[in-house]
Amino acid sequence: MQKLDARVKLLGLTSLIVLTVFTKSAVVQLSVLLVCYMLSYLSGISLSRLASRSLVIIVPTFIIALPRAIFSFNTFSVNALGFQPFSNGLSFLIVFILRIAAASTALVLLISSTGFSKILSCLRWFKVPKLLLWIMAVTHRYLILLASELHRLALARESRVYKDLGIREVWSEGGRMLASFLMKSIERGKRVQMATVSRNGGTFLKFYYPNFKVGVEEWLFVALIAVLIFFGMVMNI
Amino acid sequence: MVIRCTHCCPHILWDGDEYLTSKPVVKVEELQYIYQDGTVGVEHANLVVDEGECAAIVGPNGSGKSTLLLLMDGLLKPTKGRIHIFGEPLNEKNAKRLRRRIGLLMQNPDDMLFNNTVLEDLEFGPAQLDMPKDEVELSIDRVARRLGLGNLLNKPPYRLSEGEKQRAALASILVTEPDLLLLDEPTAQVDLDSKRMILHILNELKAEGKSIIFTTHDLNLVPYLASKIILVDRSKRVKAEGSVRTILQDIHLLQTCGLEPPDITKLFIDLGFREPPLTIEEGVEALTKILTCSKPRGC
Repeated sequence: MQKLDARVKLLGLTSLIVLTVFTKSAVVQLSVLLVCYMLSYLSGISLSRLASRSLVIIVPTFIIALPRAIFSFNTFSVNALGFQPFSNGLSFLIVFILRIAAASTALVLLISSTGFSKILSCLRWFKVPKLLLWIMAVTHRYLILLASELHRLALARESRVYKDLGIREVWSEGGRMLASFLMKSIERGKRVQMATVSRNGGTFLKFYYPNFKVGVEEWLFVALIAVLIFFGMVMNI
Repeated sequence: MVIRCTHCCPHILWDGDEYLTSKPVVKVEELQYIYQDGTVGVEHANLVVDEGECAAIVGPNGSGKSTLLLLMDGLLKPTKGRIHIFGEPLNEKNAKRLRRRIGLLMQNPDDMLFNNTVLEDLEFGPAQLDMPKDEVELSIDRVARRLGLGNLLNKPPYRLSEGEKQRAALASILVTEPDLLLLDEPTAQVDLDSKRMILHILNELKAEGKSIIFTTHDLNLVPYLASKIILVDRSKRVKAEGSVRTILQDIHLLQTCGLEPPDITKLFIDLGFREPPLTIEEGVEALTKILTCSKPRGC
């Protein structure tokens, strides 16, 4: 995956995400999920890392969708074989979670195998509006910086806490930490902005295009994606 | 090869054929900067740094050294006073154009390295200047080899050691080949190897005729790099400006600014030397003379 042309990879994995959004078939969602894990394995990307990163999206989704499964539990329907094995709510929950799992895994696979600046270069190549790209670039950069700032702050506090804190103390400490995190983030943001400007960065940042190439691997990848999309369409019909 | 007289006429250069009068790259006049909360950043600063010169801005913590550099790069707007860069008065209109010839190294390398990989950080500056990619690749290759970053290019910056980060940050400004380097504490928080490497490269750049202004409070480093010292004190004013030898041998002046002379200089001052050495090498030379001389104090 890392060696694939970034444009082909971006288009291919985005197509898979679109496929998971438009199909209700659990089999198709599972197939996408399986293909993503297979590609990850073949590319030497740790499967556990792929799973843990996509779980960050799946778990909150599960929590959000859970009430739907519970509150629509009385909508049992009868088919030729008797009762359906799941309630409508439960089957909705399973398909929904599978959909999110497949889409997020495809997204994580894209991020794990492609540098963010390459993704931005490709999007620019696809003529995505500059303003959107700028928002993406700035958000990505400051998210990483803020995460590192928060990590440092948490470590510094942790190293000076010598006893177990009660709930009230934890909340009050947390509030103080949040306040200093916000102040530090603003300061850090200012300094990074200065560093950007000092290196001639203007409103619209520029990046070099990655070296594009389309070879046998790219065609194989395209073929795999095409088969999956065809399968998805057949299953939907 | 351009030769500069560092004693009597530092503004005169000799290029082998004729004398050339040096031009100031940075001229600061009556500069004042006050932060939004009312804190004074810089007060009545006056200084001149000539083309090809390496000047050290030295002073204790909080004396406004970093603020001075940010002002020289046009990142902060002076409250009062003027700054001339390459002979042009620095203002909002020409700051972007002038900045193309300036490389600023900030005190914290983490602020400089905000991309996903070191390579992307090195490409950042040239990309903003629309430099041709093949030319940039050659430049990155050259700078990375010079700074020992060859095997770190594809690593994320936050995985690097402090020394590696500082070298990567320095590389990120050298790829655009600026004429003026503004370096904020370039050797602070780095290990000995990285310090040596950075010093070696800065000396090479100096020999190539680049103008360098760096800040430090480590006076042991100054004699190895600078030809001139700009001394600032806690009142944020420029207290003195002069040759490295004159300033570093004036222990009283340094102490009023909250600084100590280099260790070797202090040792020889304590031993009663009127003209103490500034570096270990000079110290060894002085000691050798003492050991081979019958009248040590007279040497």
